Amino acid sequence: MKYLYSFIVLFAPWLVLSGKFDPLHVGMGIVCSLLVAYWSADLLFPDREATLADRLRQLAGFIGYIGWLFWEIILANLHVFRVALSPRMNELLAPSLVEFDTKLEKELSKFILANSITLTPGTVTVRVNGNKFLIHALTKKAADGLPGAMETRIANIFEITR
Amino acid sequence: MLLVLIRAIKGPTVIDRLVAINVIGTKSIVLLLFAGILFGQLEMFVDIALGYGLLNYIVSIAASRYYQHRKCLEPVHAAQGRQPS
Amino acid sequence: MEILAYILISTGLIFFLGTTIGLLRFPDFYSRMHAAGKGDTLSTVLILLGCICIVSTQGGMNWLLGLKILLIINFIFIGSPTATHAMMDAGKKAGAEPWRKDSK
Repeated sequence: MKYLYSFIVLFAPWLVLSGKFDPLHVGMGIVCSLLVAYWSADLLFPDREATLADRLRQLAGFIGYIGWLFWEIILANLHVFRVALSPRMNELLAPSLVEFDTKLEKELSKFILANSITLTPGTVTVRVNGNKFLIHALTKKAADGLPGAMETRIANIFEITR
Repeated sequence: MLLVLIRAIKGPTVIDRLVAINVIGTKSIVLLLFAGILFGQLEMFVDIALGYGLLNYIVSIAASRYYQHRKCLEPVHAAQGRQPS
Repeated sequence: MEILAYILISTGLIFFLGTTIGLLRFPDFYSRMHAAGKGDTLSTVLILLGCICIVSTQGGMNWLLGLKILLIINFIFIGSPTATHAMMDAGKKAGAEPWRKDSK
């Protein structure tokens, strides 16, 4: 089953990138994707037990999460814009380093949490070390709001135990 | 893009220049796409932009990995002038 | 469709102007990283979405080009925050001091 997944994942970018649909190019794509899928399917999907329904539900949740994240990014940019354009910038800035523990366990969800923290208002991830996240916050208000609603959202999508 | 180049030239430390170079690289992807639209040959320019985006990402990762091990932010001649080794 | 493309592209350019001003005015390396990591990602994504809108009005085989630009957006969306982490970590390990209010 995992060979089928990785074959689809590899073959779709081939079609998009080559852009030719005559039998020679599509056949070459099928052969190459089959070989690579046979050799390296273990690398792509580390957790074997997840069923197809689980994966589809994760995908739907992730698309919804992307939509929410995009709105947060727009807010973050307005925040940076306001701070950068204010004439009394030095009074507005209060940089600080904050450290907190996360309760997420999977590597994938930690990665998504770190990237989301970077893209949301006023905070940037400096280092991820095991369960500890080191965050640099731009203003005082941003430092108080950590880790916020993001962690529970990610936990709802990716950390459901079967 | 020219304003970012100012930061890249006068940046006090090496990391500042690295950030500026990253921003310039991302913007040049956009510039390539605009050039493709203007010249009417977007098929070629999209592929170039795709490769350029991947290269830009690899450059940032490799350079920051190098400076993680070097543990010194001044340029090389200044650091060597201070403590010759 | 073209009007939507122009709105997206000009919004992206405005955000990019904000990024540049932030990059020039912020006092230390860490806060410059804020401006670079956020504004860069959003402005590039907006401008590329506008490019998709322009391309898809031209008809023909252009939906493939739209998919390719979507692939570029995907790479930028994943790669830019990761590159930001890598550079922040390099600066932290190399010993860059965070800026304080009383340090100037």
